Amino acid sequence: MFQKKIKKIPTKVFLTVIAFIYIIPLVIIFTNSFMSHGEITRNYGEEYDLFDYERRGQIHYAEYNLIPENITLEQYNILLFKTPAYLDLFLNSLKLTLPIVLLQVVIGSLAAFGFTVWKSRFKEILYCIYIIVMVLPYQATLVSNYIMADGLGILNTHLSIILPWGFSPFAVFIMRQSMKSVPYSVHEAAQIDGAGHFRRFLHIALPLSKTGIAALIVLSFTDAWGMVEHPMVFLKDSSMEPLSVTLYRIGQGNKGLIFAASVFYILPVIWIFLYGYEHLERGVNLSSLK
Amino acid sequence: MLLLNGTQMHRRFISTINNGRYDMMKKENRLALLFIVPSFFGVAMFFIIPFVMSLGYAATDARGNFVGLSNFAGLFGNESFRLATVNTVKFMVVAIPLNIIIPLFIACLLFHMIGNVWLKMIFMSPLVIPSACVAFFFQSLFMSNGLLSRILGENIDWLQTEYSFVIVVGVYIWKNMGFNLVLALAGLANIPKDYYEWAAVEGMGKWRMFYKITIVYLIPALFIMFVMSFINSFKIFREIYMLAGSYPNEKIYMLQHYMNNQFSRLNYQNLTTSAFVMTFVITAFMITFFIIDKRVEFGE
Repeated sequence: MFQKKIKKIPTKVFLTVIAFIYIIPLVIIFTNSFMSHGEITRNYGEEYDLFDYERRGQIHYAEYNLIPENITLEQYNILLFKTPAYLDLFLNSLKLTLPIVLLQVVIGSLAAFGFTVWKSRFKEILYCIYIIVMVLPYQATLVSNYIMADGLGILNTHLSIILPWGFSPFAVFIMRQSMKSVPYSVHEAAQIDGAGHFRRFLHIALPLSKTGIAALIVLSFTDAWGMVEHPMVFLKDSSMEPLSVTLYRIGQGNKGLIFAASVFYILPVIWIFLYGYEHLERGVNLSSLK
Repeated sequence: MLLLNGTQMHRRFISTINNGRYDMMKKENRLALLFIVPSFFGVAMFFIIPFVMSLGYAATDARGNFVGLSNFAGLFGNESFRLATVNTVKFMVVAIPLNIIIPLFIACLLFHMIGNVWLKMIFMSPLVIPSACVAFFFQSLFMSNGLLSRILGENIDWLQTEYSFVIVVGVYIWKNMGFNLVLALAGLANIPKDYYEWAAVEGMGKWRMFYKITIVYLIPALFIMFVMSFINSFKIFREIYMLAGSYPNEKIYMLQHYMNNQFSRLNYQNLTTSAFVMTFVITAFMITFFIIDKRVEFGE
């Protein structure tokens, strides 16, 4: 027993080291968000302080301080109260992400139910088209989306991102996988009892695929929250961009704000992640169901 | 007139009932299609129809004259397109196998550990974190005054060197390993423990057990791990863009950069032609892949 435990120690150490590498970026972002503007510029800047006579002109390597010299809320203060533009960008993210998630859940579960009960030889062909569209990278489908958005005249509006993303076949895929785990005999039994499709959808399929819905919400929220490609192509007006795109520019210019802005932007995702982790894990495993 | 015996009567009776039920089922079946309609409407409208329309652009020049396949010829002759294609394929060939082997290895280590939920969560977390939020941290590691430069004592912006490829593969694995890890762990949990016990009684060694039992029973999980790594390998553009901008080092100039730069110039011909080529290649690849998948499934 004791020997077995000793044998496991190297494995544990190894795993802990890897986990440490995984978690360190988050820890640094979090703690550095309480640093003052000056301290960040000093830590990450390329040169020493002008007043540091001895080392002026030498190259200054980035320093990672886990604990700020003096803890301040300066960054948050600037971010939340002094520059309302950031809040607007954050709202843009919400305005884009929430409708996408809602559309995906509603349309995805409806279609997944249809694919479960519909019997036709065209079904698998149609589903195959869905899978192929799902696998295609954004860069290939963006062209199609752009042509349609241009045709509908919705370029440079949030709708041009919400609509194509909301109809994503990925939602149908996850929901169908989750409905597959319900034995079909349950549906047949309800059918014999005289329940129509709609009642079966509401009273059997939906309640039994709660996990699938939760997993879909976690996956689609986190994916949409980090969107980069779509806003870059569809939105010309930078005031309409979600914060996920603008953060990059904050990092290029005003380094002093980047950590607080990142923490501010990560919080909703972390909340959903911690809250829905079990569902997320099950959702990932759903994708491997045959 | 034919006299029907009991069995025939019975059959006919059943078939009339079945016909009635068949009609009802047919009607029900048509109703089932209604559930797919909203989704299909959207997929057709935003993906299929514009894709077919885009073929029109791909076969004409900027003034709308039919030019046949000359856009395609031009595309394959385009140096930056070729560079982007080669880089993307190279990236996939290196990163996807690593993104399967590493999580598989870690899953084997994690599998016997009790209370591994926290570790799993930590490994999953990069998947949900918006790439913009960690971009600055990664930049700070590889910039000319970053951590790597300090360790190696050379002041180089590593993202602008040929080593950028290695960095990007590393970031890809950091981000996507968790997904495959969870899949591998679930796959391992599905293998009945008796198999190992029997194999141990038979005197099988550990490595033999690994590739005779573990790998064989993990094949379905490995397939989906591959598909997911494939899908996500295209999303690495987010990280590269955040780390190195629209025109990165030529080692990490991917197809997605090419497409994005065409977008900023709004060159419809180039855009549609390259999107068509990408779609065609990926579709062909996926169909072959699924056929192999079915073969393996039935082969066992």
